[in-house]
Amino acid sequence: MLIHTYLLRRIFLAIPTIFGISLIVFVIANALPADPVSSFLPNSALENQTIVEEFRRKWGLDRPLHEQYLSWLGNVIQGDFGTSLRSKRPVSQDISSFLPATIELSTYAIMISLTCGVTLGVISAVWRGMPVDYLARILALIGVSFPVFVLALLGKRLFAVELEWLPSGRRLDLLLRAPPGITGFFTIDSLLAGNWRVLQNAISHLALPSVVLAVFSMGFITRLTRSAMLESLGQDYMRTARSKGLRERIVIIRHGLRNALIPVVTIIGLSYSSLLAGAVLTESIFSWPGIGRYAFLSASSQDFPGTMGVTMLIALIYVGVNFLVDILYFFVDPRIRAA
Amino acid sequence: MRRFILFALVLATVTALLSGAAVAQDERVLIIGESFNIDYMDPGRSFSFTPFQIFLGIYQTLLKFPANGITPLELDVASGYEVSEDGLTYTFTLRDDIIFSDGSGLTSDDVAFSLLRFKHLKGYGSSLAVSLASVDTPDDYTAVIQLNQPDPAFLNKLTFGGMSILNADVVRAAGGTDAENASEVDDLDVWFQNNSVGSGPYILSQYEPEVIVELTRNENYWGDELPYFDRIIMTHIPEVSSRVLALEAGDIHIARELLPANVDDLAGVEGIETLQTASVQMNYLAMNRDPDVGGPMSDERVNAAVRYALDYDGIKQLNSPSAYTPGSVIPVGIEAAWDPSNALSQDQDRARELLAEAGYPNGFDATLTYWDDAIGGVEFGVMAQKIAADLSEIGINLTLVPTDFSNWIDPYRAGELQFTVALWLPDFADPSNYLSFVPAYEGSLNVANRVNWTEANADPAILELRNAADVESDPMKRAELYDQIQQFWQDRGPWVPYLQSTQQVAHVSGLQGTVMHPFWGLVYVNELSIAE
Repeated sequence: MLIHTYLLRRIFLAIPTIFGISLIVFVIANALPADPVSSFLPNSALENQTIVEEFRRKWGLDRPLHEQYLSWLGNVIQGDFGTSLRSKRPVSQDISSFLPATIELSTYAIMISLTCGVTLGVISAVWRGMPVDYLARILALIGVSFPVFVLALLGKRLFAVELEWLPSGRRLDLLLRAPPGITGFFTIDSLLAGNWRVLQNAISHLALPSVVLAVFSMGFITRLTRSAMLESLGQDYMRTARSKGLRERIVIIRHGLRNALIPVVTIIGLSYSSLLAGAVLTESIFSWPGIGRYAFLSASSQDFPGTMGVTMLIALIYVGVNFLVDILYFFVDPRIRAA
Repeated sequence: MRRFILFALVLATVTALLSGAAVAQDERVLIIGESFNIDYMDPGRSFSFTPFQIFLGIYQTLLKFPANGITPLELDVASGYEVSEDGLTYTFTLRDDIIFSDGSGLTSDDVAFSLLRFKHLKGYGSSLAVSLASVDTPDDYTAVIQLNQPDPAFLNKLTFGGMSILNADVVRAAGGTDAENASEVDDLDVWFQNNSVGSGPYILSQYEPEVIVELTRNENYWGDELPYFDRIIMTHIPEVSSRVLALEAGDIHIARELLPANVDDLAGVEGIETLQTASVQMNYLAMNRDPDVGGPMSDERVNAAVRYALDYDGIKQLNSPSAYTPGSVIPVGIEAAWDPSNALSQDQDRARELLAEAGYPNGFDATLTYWDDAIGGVEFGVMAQKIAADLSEIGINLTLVPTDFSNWIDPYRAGELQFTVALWLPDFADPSNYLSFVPAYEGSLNVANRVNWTEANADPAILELRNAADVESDPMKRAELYDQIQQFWQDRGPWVPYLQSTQQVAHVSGLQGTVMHPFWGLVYVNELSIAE
């Protein structure tokens, strides 16, 4: 099979997937016994028919459901995700405002969890049964089992209030202006602008929430790496490598770790996607203006355009990641090329 | 060695980045942490708590309420006013020295435009302008407001943020209108997020939804007293524990919307002061008057039995010792409200007698539905458990049904709940707002409809009281009418007002001018300063 045929087939399959997701979300959102009128109108206005009717007209809620969906779909195809009932801004503007904050936080979190998780996993496997192994396993266990909000509040109490080393929340000190928005990532934008004070400030704000967010996946990666390393260390090729006279460090890293990383690499994409979509608690506690909190608020207040917009975005991220994985499979797996 | 040097360099860089010194600054900045509840930044459309606080800094109204109470109303844009004998014509004389933030003068055209636009936008708060018929402008500094029906609360409603006086020329130029079709053609939702057109001491300089609101001193402010702070930054910190931590860490100066427990936790913390006063949040129980829905709860005698069965002191202790046990659903602070001394006390023997009279000597089973959340420091789940425990002692066994907001408010509004825990925040600070708790006029809806207490099943006596109170403007007669209404509620109403809760704020020591308003809390930011 040619590469472009393969890609076209994948794209062809991705399109109905995305629209299917949008339809399912729309149906679920509208099937819920909840009325946006109750979420948005104040008490007295709820009993004023003129105001209620005007609200429904303004937001298109007075139209039949199928008409609402088709109208929404038509607008999406033209790049218009509608206007958020909460922020009153175009949903696309909301997403472009909130998404970079989450991507920046999640990227640093995945980097921390990967670095620490793999290191701890390798150490734990190589020194299996030693005190350092137990220590690494306890850390991993704490990582996967400790509630994020407890860790976040403890971290804030210790580092922001008691030690005063780090700020208690937000992306930047309130007295500082955000750097010119090129990428939306404050660390990169401040670096590009040569604004060291903002860079320093942005890093200090990122430190605590990114570590808190990283802890769970770090624990998971540690356990996965350890188990993969233990399996790898017992393989024949490890003995062969040692018999060739290679140094132990080279044997472990080049031969052991390289093979053990295959399952770790497989889950990085999924971990990253779930970090992007699941940082709600961390974002709320650290007042981090990210897409997770936006998604939660949109869904809980029946803000259909906001909910649909974020859902489509997350669906696109997952479909995009899977698409990339599929492409990788084409090159990695000869059986696909042969099919 | 080379690797060691590289490692040392990286370590030194990271350390330097993380340990930066505090930002030096000359300007005076006040930072407030709170949980945003912003619907619109357009005064004409908004009807939410946070925007009102913001509007108080940016805009002016014809009249305003005093810093620490609801009455007597004070002049703001108006320098005086007269009300006609029939209560239908309000003639306002305007100050001639008020200047908008763009340097232009405020005239009666701006008043007429702002009030009519508010009415015709049909926004969330526009029910407050139902009685407004027209605004005439015989000269630049006179505005004559004509009502289509007497509205004793009209002056009070003029203090509401939706009645803010906007710079009409600027709004018109942006596409705004006060025409009758304003709701369809005036779409300045986003425009008002980036522009402010008031004559107050501040202007809106930055707004990012769910993130930040920044007010900067209005350089064209016309008043004699300039505000102390150059900038006021309001930052969205949704979690209450995070607001407390941010205050303790020195990241903010004021933490709003705290829980009563936070006041205890912060007591004695160096550098922090707390304020706690009664709010106007009325927490009440509602019992359905439709026998098919309410069952035993539809009986007036059962309603009274429930009122006598509750341990009000115990309920208050679950919230705050500073809270009130109210005498009626009209909270203390609102004109004509009953004093807390009129509140009922627990009397289980009387409650059992009433149950027996109603035909339930052994009690009955019922369902108590509640919104599983905490508002204004009142945890409804805790309250529901306490109420269930109290009622079980007279034989009423409750099944508690916690639910989310939508699944509570929608059935409640539809009159489908047998018994529920509810709350009410006034839309305007006048007792007439509480006429919503008596049966509505036929064809209209109010809170009484939620428990199916209607003209059809209500005693004519309460309907007569409603009709009279709705139009009476004489203060003495009003007080008498509302006294009778509150007595009716206490004797025969379907409501149990069990708690008037408190509001809590904490701030850094040395902040001066901190006065808590019962309606809006700590809102007069232009009167705040730091002791130097």
